[in-house]
Amino acid sequence: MVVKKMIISVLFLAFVSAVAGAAITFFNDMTAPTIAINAEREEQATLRKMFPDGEFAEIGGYTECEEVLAVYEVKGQGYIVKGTAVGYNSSTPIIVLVGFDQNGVTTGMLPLQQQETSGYGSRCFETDFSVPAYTGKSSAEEVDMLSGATRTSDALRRIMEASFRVMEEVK
Amino acid sequence: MWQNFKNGFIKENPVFALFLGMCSALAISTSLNNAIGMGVCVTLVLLFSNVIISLMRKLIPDEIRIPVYIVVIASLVTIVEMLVHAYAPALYQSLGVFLSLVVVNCIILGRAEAFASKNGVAASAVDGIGMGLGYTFALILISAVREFLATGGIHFANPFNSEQILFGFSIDALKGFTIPLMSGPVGAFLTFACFAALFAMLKERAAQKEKEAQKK
Amino acid sequence: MNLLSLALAAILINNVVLTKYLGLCPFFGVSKSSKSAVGMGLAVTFVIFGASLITYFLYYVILVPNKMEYMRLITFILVIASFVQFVEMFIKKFSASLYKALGIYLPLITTNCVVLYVAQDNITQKYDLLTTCVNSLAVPIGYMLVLVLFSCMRERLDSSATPKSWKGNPIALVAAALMALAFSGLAGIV
Repeated sequence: MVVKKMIISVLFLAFVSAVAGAAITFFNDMTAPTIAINAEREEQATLRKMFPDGEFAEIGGYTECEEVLAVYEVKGQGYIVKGTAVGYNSSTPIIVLVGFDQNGVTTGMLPLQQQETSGYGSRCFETDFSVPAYTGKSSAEEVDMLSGATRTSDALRRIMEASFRVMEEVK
Repeated sequence: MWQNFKNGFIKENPVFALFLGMCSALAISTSLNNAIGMGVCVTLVLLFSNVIISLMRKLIPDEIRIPVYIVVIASLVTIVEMLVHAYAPALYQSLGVFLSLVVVNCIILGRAEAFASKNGVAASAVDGIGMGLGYTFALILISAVREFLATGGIHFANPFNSEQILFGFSIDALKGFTIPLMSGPVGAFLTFACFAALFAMLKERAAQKEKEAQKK
Repeated sequence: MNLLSLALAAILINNVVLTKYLGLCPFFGVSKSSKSAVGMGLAVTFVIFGASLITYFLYYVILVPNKMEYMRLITFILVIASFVQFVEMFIKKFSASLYKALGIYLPLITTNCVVLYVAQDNITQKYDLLTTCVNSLAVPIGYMLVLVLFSCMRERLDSSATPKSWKGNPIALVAAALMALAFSGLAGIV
């Protein structure tokens, strides 16, 4: 009796799990293509913020390091490096895009993800600081640091150093 | 049935009165957008889990009812997560891991065990919607206060197209006087505490009134 | 990030309770006395460590090779639920004193979001095995630390004069807010 009850229980649970698995698989097959298309479109849209009419292609051929997530070539216009480093907030790493023209001179920096302390570290990403500080530089030493935001600036400096190193290799 | 539905809002508000589902209520109530998105997801999961469990309530062997509930809820959450990922990517991004943590939201398992396993389909569906809306209502209250104090305005964007803002205002005079702390954990706990105290007070008042009415 | 700073960050800076708001239901339920806080903390640590390792292997040995990553959530929650049940049975059989100490907290753990969060976090952060072990120990230790500290505070709170509508959970939430404020001062040391 006990055994029979147990078998029924196990079979019932197995049946429910199978139905649930089938349902999940169905919805996965339904949504996976849309998710992939969205991700692709999203990526293109963020890259377009740096070069509004560019054609982008992800490239390799550089020494990988933890600061560099991806490198894109913008056809005929330059390059974009997607970089990351941990600043003051260790739970959310900073992720930025750094744009370069064909000579390896920066064209700008765009934050994709940052949760640095507002009013301190986050000032590094406000345009009145970030536009002059990250535009038209040809080496990491030229990039300005921001006092009062040492940890954030330092993380950004690490990203810039890695980006310039990568640029030397792919240019 | 209407009474059941209404109960979910004030007297048995799952968040403020029963202290269920607090984790997600605090974590994603940083903006009105997140609050409404999360509220809708939880309501959907709650509605379907209540209906499915109520349909199966006579079939499920008693010893394995909890694992069965968990399987049902987990697959519903996975499905909702996939749909949100596909059709509202911005919302998916901002809810992050908390969307999948709906599985362990005590409201859903609690309602399955306490209500849907004992009641008919229609009653369970109404209960699910009522509780879900009560949860959403609580999230909206917390998030409105937090977003306003932290950014000086409130915004609600179309979840399917984040560029299109459906409703929103911001007060320019408050620029420079905003409290960024409110969007962090401190603000979450404080706002929640104030609302919980307010609801406790309302409950107390209502109970007192009832008592007086009985005396007469 | 090296392992030591990862552990320190998980315990003090990115504390699951105070910055990620996880595991709050048992947090307010159990933290009324420091003795039960320690019991709950130990039980959670044990379950998280065990469940994280099991889910880690399950994910990389079974789900990934079969391209079934999308079944992650349902697999993980089932593993956690059955692991908790199994541990409860095991302890009950072999150590009555341990069961007395931890037993009543075990059923509560299935719906503790910290367990599921750690299991998922190890996967989404793409941790390797060693990092997974460190992370799944450090996170519950941070949880226990806050739970114990908080229970001491609550014992004191219970005997103080509080306005009627603030009694119980509301005033405890205010205390949690102050604690989060104090812990946020530690941000940036790692």
